[in-house]
Amino acid sequence: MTEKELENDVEKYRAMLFRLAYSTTGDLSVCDDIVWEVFMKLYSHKGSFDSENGKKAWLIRLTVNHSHNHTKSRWLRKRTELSETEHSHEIISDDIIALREALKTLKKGYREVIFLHYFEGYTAAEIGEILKISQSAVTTRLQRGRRMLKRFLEE
Amino acid sequence: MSIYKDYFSGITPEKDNRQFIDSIINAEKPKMKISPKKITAAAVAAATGLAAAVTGYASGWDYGAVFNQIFGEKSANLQNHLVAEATEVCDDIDHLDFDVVAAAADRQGVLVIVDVKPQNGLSEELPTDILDDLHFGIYYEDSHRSSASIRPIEYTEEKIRVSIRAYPNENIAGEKISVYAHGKSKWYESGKDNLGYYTGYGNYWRAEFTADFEGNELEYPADLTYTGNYGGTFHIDRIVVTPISVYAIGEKSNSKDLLSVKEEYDYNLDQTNTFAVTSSNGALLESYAITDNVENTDKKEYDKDKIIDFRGMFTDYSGENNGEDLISMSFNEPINPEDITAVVISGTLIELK
Repeated sequence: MTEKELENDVEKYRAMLFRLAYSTTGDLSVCDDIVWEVFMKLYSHKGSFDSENGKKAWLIRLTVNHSHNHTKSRWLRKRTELSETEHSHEIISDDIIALREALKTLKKGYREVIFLHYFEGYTAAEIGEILKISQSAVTTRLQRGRRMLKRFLEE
Repeated sequence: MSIYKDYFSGITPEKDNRQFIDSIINAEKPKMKISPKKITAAAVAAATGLAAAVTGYASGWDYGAVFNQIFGEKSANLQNHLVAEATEVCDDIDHLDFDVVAAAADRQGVLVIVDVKPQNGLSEELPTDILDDLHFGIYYEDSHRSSASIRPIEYTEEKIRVSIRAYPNENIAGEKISVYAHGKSKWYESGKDNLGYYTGYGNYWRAEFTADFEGNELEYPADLTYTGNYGGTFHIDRIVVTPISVYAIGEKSNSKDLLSVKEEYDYNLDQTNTFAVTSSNGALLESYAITDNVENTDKKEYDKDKIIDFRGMFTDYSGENNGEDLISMSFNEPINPEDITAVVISGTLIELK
């Protein structure tokens, strides 16, 4: 991959992958590292992609995998999370804060599905293709995820 | 302002894109995370006959010739496919820099040879010829059982037939279990999509599938579901080729770590969780599995720090496969290949990440 190609891909996908990493880990302090690792792999990737969508799916899958690695690390669990508002210069409503907290309570495997569907607009079938899980599993996670979020927010 | 914008307000990278790109371009390659002192043995054979391949390789044989000798030249397409498949999987493993140079499947396993590139001064300690076994793993969720295994039992240039077993935790004696296979119909042989099985010893269900090869593309069953009378249902989302790195056997005993893990987590040690791994040099290494209790979703810590039960080359004395060697892995929840962080061999906990 050339430097120019890397620049294009960073412009195109970095922000989205960063948000995906955040959605999956719920920890702002690790998202930069995760996305950096993903782009490192892309930069050193020797194979080619069938399509732009194929590349995007590959990046998403890698980000999810790396995010899972980060969330399970013992070392990571000992770290103190940065306050989310440290990076923010905007006022965040209580509803959004509540929603973020609610999403953090979802089990691993659910958060990225919720993100890809509700924030990125992917269908269940597309998410299944990207994450290499069945469509029924995606649908199940969406349904359960919604239920869990509702329950949390009602409390 | 949209919910999207609201939700991700303030969720932005610290560095600008230019800094970010420069940091990638100027970065060093990832360093090996396994200490060379911990690597004292390698090349665990995953199937009968592979020891010959290892010996052949160590003697300077050509990989292709070795595999052709063992599996026949007709399997070239399958080998090519497996190499491509394994390479893709292994690309995601960042603790070692290696190339997949050969792969093959026989009736007892899928085998991959990887070439580990010496780096960071490890060339003397680290064997450059590491045979890594590549197992089929099963993704599943909502499981009511402790483990599952899959193994190829037949393959030709055109197809591969695999056997899947599920070992439930519950006492299912006398129950009639059906196994349903969904997904792409070309994966399944007619008449074999539903197959209940009960042995009275080992309590497992089994299903068999045949996969077609179309060019270099191997597709997996989209979904496999079974339902038992105990009321539980689980879905096997997909079958993946999963590398389990049993190449590094710790020099220093980490039995303390193992004990602490036992103390920290619930585990279920039963007959299906005790196994032996046979290495290429004939050494017998005992290992024990630790299984998380995934049904207790309140214990979220389990999601983050699980131990994978890996069973390689254990002798199965149950059912019709009496005495045959199997390869098995147990997962606690749907899992990605990169989630595999450790294996336990002879009381030594080996951290892979």
